[in-house]
Amino acid sequence: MAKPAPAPAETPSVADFEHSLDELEQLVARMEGGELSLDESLASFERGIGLYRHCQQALDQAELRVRLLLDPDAPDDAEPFESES
Amino acid sequence: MRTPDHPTAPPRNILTPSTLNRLVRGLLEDALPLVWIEGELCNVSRPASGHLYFTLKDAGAQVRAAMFKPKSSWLRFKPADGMHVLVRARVGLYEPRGEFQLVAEHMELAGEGALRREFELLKAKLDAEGLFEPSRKRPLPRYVRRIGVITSATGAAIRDVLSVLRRRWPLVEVEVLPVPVQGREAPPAIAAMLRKASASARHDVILLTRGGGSLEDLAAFSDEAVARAVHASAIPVVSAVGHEIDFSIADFVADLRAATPSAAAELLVPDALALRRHLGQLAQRLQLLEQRRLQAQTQRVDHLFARLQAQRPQARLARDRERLEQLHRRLYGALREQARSRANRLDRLHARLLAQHPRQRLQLLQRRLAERERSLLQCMSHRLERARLTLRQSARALQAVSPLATLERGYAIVFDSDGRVLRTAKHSPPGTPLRARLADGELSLKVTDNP
Repeated sequence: MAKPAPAPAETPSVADFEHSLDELEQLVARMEGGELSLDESLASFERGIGLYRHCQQALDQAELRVRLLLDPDAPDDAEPFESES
Repeated sequence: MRTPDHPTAPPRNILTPSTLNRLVRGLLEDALPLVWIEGELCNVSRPASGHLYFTLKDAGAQVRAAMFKPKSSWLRFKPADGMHVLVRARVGLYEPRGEFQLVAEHMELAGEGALRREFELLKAKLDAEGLFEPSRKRPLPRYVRRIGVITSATGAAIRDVLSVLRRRWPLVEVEVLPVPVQGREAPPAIAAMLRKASASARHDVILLTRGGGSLEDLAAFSDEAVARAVHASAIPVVSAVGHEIDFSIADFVADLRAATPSAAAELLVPDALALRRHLGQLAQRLQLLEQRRLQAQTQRVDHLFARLQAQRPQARLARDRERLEQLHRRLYGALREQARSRANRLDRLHARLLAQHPRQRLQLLQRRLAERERSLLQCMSHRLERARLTLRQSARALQAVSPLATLERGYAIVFDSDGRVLRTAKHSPPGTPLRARLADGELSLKVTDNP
């Protein structure tokens, strides 16, 4: 069941996820290139693990947000949408 | 006046019912190959054979018709008396009974036919205008953030879509843009909502969808105004109308057509499960890389430490000590080795010496001595023998000249007291003791007178 969604601009979770995943992929590729210093590598690793947890969390906590919008010109009037199951 | 058997009349061509019926059937089929007939159904029957028999009628006439398997099973509706239908059929004759009948190849509800014709016309028109051009189809964003779903808020379609989205990709945000999806008010409402959604630019993608229904039910999605609104949308539009077999004009204009609402939802979003797997793999690679790097560094440090340790004074001392001990061991070893080799040499010499023991020589000498002794004795006895022989000869010779022989003849030999033979009488005063030797013995004499 969808929960009442927060205001639309508040949680750009997909964008967030997408950026995190892209960054993680680039980071792993860079590390695999093997041209990082030890410091950089350690930092990359920590950053990578952080991104991984972040993505995992995003997936774990995600709940489909569904709203009923009668008029796309008036998004503030959107109401929670409860679809009968 | 005519008589039936006029001699000049052509010979009568007499037919049997069979040949007549075959002839008529051929004529009918040639003259009317395929016809469309619209009328009302009655006397519908579908026996166990699966073939379908019915009568088509209008206010003034009726005609019998049959539809055979498998075509009869492809119908999209269940024919019933009173239905108004459009039939495509060959005109034929049922020879055994001589009955004129239609053999139907296709049958649809009469209104549907009109709709279909409209559909085909509009489709051709829009196609000619380039609305279906594959080149103008836009790709969908890889990660859709907000989807606008234009559909009925109460239909099965939105339920299916939301259930798939929830399962596959709950990160997405969905806005349901409610519209009526059938009826006369549907097309303008849908077109207006499409225009508004496009103008609001709130969504990454618009899903235009509704569940299955009859061709008439789906007609709103084949409306020209809707098609043009889809075409004009600034946002990619995914269309999913009805079931797999249903196509709407909106499907052709949309950037992507999905067979069903659920399928559309699957096309729109990635699969969180697959992404989780991908994430897991990335994290694993990350861990592995870091682990390898740390291992390499640790190993390098360990190695350097070991080299450093090797340079400590204690280590050098220990090394020297060890070297010393080794030399010591080698020295003793060398000594032992030398002693052993000397002992060996001594043993060898001793053996050689023993081989030279005098006992051996002594035996040899003794043998030689014995030999010499033997030859000496032999030699001696030879000599003795020879001497004895010589002696015997000499004795014989001597015998021949022996004074003793003279004595035998009566002579005597006189010796002085010194044993000398007395050859003169001079020097022997009286009283001188003499000795005379005779052949058979001696006499002591004394000189008594010497003139």
